[in-house]
Amino acid sequence: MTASVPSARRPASAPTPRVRPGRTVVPSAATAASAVVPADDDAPAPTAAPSDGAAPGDGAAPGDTTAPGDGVALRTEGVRIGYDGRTVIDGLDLALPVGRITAIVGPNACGKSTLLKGIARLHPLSGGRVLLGDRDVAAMSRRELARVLGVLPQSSIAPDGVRVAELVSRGRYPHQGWFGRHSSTDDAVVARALVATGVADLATRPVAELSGGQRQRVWIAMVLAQETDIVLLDEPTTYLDVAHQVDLLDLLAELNAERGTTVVMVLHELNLAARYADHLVVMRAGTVVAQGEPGAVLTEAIVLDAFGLDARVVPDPVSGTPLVVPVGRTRRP
Amino acid sequence: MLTSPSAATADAAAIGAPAVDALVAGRRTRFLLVLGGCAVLLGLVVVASLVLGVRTIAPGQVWAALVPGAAGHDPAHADQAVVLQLRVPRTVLGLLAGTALGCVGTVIQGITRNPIADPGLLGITPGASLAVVAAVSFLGVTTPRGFVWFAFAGAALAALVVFAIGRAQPVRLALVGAALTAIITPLIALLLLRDVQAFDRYRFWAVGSLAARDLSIVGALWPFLVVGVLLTVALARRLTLLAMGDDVAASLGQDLRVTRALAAAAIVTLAGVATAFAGPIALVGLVVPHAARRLVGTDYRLLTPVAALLGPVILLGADVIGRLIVPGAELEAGVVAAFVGAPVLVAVARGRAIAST
Amino acid sequence: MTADVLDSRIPGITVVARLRAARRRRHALVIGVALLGALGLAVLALTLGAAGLTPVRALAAVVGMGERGDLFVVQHLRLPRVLAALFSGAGFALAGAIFQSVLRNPLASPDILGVSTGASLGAVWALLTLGLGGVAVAAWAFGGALLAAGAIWVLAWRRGLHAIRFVLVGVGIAYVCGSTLAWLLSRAEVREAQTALLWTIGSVADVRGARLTILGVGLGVLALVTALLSRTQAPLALGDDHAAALGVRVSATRAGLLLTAVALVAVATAAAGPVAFVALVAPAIARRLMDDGGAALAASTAVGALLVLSADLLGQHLFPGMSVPVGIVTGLVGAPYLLWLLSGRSERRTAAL
Repeated sequence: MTASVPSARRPASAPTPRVRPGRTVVPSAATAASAVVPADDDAPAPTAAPSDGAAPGDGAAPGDTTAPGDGVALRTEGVRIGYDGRTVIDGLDLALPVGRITAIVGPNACGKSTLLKGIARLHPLSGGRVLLGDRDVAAMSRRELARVLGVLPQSSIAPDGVRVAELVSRGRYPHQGWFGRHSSTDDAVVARALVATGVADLATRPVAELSGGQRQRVWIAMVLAQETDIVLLDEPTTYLDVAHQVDLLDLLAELNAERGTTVVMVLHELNLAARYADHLVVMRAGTVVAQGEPGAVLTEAIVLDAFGLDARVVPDPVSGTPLVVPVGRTRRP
Repeated sequence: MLTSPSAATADAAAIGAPAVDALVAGRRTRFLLVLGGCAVLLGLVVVASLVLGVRTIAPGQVWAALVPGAAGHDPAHADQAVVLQLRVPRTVLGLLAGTALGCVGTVIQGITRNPIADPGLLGITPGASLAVVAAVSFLGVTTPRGFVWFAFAGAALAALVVFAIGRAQPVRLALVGAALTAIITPLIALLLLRDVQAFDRYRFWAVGSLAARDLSIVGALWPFLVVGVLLTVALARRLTLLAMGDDVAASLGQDLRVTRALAAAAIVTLAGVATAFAGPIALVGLVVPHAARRLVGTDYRLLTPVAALLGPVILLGADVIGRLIVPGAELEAGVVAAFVGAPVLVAVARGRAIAST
Repeated sequence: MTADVLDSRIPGITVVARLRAARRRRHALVIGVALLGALGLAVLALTLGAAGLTPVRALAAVVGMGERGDLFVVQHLRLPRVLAALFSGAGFALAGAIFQSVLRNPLASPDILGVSTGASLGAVWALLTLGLGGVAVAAWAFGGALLAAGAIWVLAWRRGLHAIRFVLVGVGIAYVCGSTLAWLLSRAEVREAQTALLWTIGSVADVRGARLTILGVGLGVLALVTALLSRTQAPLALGDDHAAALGVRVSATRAGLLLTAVALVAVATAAAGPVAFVALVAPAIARRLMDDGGAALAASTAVGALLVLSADLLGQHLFPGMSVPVGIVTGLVGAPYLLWLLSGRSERRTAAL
């Protein structure tokens, strides 16, 4: 888990798209062995399928942004998810690249949160399966899954009076034994997580006293303490003001850069998604409309198709990524 | 895609107006049908209440007993005596208490926007009970007519405590009410343990029964019932708006303090009257508004009359069932009502889209 | 995952470790004080009464030394009562702590949610309709509690056990049981009914022999089970999604914990009747004392034991000549505390509602 991958980020020019919009990603290499469980004593040996693409290792693929057929961290096959008899997602195939930041965007009720929950095994699938490497997620024990996949859901409850350090250390749960004894390793991980999210000096404060931005960082620290290769986040920037949104996304980008963690997040803000994601997935009505490099995916046509929004897409003056500018109805002189 | 405002208005005029008219007309017809149906149902239940029981009395005898001028009218006749002295008072009490319960349930659910609100569930009726017990054991009050006023006071105090602490949030209210009941029960027990006679008098009342009452209470209390029903009617429009939220209702011009004051008065009056007439009966106030809502929708102007009719239907129905279900004996209306109300509560709890946290 | 050694160069690690040590210390302090208090009160309870005893004689009698009269008073009368108070208090409090933690609601409590009412119904049915006495009544109380809980379970289960649904159905079941209970009381002969009513208040006055043993053993076993399951409480408190993401099997764990809690209530109620409020109030006090966002299971148990013993002592000796059952004292003392607790809470604290 210590592979540091200084990947080249943010190429100024529009890179060549790796995937044509509308096609699901099926890399020519076999599934990469990114389903690696951290070297624990009692963890089962990773079932690494041989691949000719990414090398099996600590789960961090080399930061080569141009090579086609990167390893796939997570894959859905024919996934069907619904609520109370109403099917939201019907037969979706999606591959999420390992070691990258993927953002899933789409209009309200397009099923992006549902999809994330289905992948994270927080919501039961009515059909299909989710594969981690070549293992069916449903076949893994929850504990095992929790050591590989960290999730920050939308709904979080901070119990009354809990302190920051205590809350973050709950993230160590999947790694602890029957009696929940905290080892020095656990403490070290927790401390690192606190430092990484910049809340170390708040460690003894009650979570309830923190601001929204700080609190969200604490929750992320908890997920970090889980030490997983993959982190899923369901709308992590809701209720945060724009400065904190950018702050949080920068943090996730650093995490991806330094540890090679695969980040998959559902985001509402198109422009931030375009800016921070390596891989953008646009959904509408339970299906994937387009996916790939933001530059290729976020075109005016696709924005219109998926969101029903008439917009211009221009290069962001700071990062060069697509900036969606809505046209709206009121014309100004 | 949204169209421009001017285009939208034109569209609305073309399509909208006849559709709305049809909707309103349809609803009105449906309402009248439902109202008529409920009235018929009520009539049937009343007849059943007079005819059925441990002994089934022939309708002819019932008629003869009720109508002084009818042939065969003879108050001394056994059957007719039963009708006049037992069944009629019972039916009348059931009608009045049922109406009160139907109305109070509607108001409580409206003012708290809470589907499980009910005066018994919220600790209001136990509050009335405690007051009654206190009156019976400390002040030696023996007749229902006497402790009726205590029932009022108890209901008022309990309502105050519950709504102040519960702050009109659904589950919180239920729990505060249940907690209040949990406080009151040992207090009642303490008082009753000291005094066997008080216990003896109280325990029959505590079951919630329409039997063995004299109609003098009706004479004393009917004005309160009328006031309560009038308040409910007056609240109808307000509650309909309130259902959309405090802020929305206020922005539509409603004075929330007036609404709350009226509602408080209605709740206290009606709960007090119902408890005075029939003892503490739980869950009828819960079931009636739900049934009414299923029939006529959520407009309180339509809900209120239907609830006022359904209340007695359910209460009297429970009473009749109680007479028939155990051969040779009777099960009080309150007990039967609890068994009828509980499944409804469960159905409501299961049916709701409840967040998974 | 390389640091096996406490690497003090990692910034923040000492803070984390120190915070945990502080928590542990506080925990030990709270439980220690509560247990000491309970012990002190127990000794006091053994000495007070019509037959006044010095502490030395009382303690000697506990271990079997001393005069026949002392031995009888202590071993047959006072000690069982003290033990019953401690055990039932611990049982109710632990059950309440579990309920409140699992249902994520500080107001949830088995006596409010119908489990205790079910137990009362079972006992009263046994007393009045079946004419039973002694252990049989306790057995029926136990069965009643389990049946009520089972009913709530079955009715509230819908693709998983959700907290709010459980609470709503529980309240409904409480009312059904209460109504039936009132009906039973109205049917019986008045003296018998009064005796039955007394049972429903909760008293530790006559718990000895088989009932006491079952209470003690049951408490021990269930407390052990709780200890084994207790580490899931921390993730569960964060919300169903977080808990699942951390690897907890949410519905199964919740079911297991609630079942244990129900069994605790059933055992305690079978022995002592439904002692009002302990399950609600003791955990609340314990959580306030701990103030760290945890469920305070062990602390609740200790506080509960102390509470019931104090209440029983008060009830016995406060009013000369009158012995107030412990259930009434806890009800009357619990009420103001509960109302204060409820009214003092800010909006955010009841966010789970």
